[in-house]
Amino acid sequence: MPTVICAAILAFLFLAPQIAFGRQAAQSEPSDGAAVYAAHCIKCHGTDGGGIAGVVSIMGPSLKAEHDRQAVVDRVLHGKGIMPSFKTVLSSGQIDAVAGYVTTELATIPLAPGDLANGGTLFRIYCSPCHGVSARGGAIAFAGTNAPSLVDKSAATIAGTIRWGPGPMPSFPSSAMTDQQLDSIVTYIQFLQHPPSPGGTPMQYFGSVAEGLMAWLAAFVIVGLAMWIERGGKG
Amino acid sequence: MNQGRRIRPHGGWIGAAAAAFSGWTAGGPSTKGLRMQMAMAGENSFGDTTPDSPRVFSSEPAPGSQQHGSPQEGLRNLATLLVLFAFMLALGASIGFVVVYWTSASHALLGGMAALTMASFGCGLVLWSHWFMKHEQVIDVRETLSSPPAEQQAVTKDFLADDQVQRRKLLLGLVSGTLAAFAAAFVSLFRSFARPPYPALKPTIWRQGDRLVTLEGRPVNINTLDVGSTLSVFPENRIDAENAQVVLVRVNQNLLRLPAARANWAPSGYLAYSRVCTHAGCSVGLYEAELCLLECPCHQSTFDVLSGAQPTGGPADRELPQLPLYADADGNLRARGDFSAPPGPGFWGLP
Repeated sequence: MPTVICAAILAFLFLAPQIAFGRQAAQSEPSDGAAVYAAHCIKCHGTDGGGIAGVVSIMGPSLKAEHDRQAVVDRVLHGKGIMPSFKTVLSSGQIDAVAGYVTTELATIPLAPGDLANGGTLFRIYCSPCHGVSARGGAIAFAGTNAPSLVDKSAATIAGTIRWGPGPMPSFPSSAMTDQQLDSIVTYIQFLQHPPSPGGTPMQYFGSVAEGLMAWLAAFVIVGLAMWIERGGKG
Repeated sequence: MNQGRRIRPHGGWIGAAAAAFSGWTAGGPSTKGLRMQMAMAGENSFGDTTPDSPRVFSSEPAPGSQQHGSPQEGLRNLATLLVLFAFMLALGASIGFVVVYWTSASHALLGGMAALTMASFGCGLVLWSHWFMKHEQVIDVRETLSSPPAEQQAVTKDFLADDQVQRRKLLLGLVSGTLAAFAAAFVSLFRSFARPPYPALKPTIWRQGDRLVTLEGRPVNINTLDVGSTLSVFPENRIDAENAQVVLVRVNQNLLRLPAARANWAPSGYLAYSRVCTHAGCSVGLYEAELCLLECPCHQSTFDVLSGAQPTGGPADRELPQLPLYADADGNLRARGDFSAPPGPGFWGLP
């Protein structure tokens, strides 16, 4: 009899956590996208997907222009930068559901191909003072902050950030900047991310001054070499 | 030898070209042209070697140019006229420069006069050196004993009677006249220091009631910007006016620290400042929305938007001129008048 009681107690002790945590897990893992978003994404990307600005950089970028469902799935699966991978946390069904929620419910900023030249004009007026004419970022010395490089930023992130204006960056609401203008700026930044480089080495696209300096240095080296050869390779 | 010798150099490249040209104009390679080229070749290639036939300096002109009525002499007279004309032109343009400076504000005309002065003076000098200066190495041998006074006077009289010397006196007079006119033109420019152009720089094309419009011509409404947004705006119908461009920002109204006289210049927290930096004239396009700072990307001049764009860092020492605003009945933003100060770099130490 005591053996039976002991066995029952042991069986209970063994099964209890399984029952308890199993039930809990079943409760906290919803299958609809809004609930998955609220459980896992909201801390960094905000309640409406508008993004959250950290102390020195963006904690979670805005998702308000993210229309690419597959991109969301990939990002959730593999993570990027400070965003962890959710491969082992969420089921594939949940990931698909949250991607659907983000791209259909949260993404309210329309995004389409824009006019490159017009985008260039607007970029030079509004973006280049901080992010540099080549979009490679820059220091804002007296404010003690940095404007980040835009080279590895997706079109959705760029568009969402322009409308949002995180931290020190001013915002550009649709009343001040039309959707067409936003599209044009995004198109131009995408062009700047991989511009043509006929000279071979782009040198970080720092511009003609830096390239000119290197050309002069190379010319001096060639002249020095020629003088050395002319002296018969001595001294 | 070296002590008793004085080499008279002259323009190498231009001289060689001019010598070749003179040989050609004198009807083929004349003896003079050839001699000049040879002399010059000797001088340019072997600067220190003695020419084949060193001549003792004398006032005697080069052979071939002394026969009166010869083509050579006609050419020299023409050249004299040309040189005279060049120097006169330089003199006249110098005087014209002063006149233009005092009477008109046309920079193009002023620059044109200065260019004409320099160019004609230079042409005159080049022509003079080409036609009337000796194009050969001359060695002056020091005289060991001085001549008797009577002989010196006779030589001087002879020397001054020579027409080349007369010509030289005239030309020298013209050259000094032109230089004096140069000096006068330069000195007269100091007038600009005495009278700061403050009133001339002050007005832009902003007038009372002008609507603020974007680059595309859309009027800016009281609801256009959120707090923390920025926009570049222009006066309506004059979007191309550089000195009238304005950076418009919207801030939290409760944070404003504008001077009392500007209390009603910022409806609903809208602030408008000149977009031209007061340091070096760059475009102040960098708005730090958290600290409400406007920065110039060129030299990092920083302006505090809330207190009337007072400079808080960087090289600028003058606040950005503020454009007073009001909202009309429809909510459109309009200018109350012109900027509070002349826009642009503070070259004149303006307040």
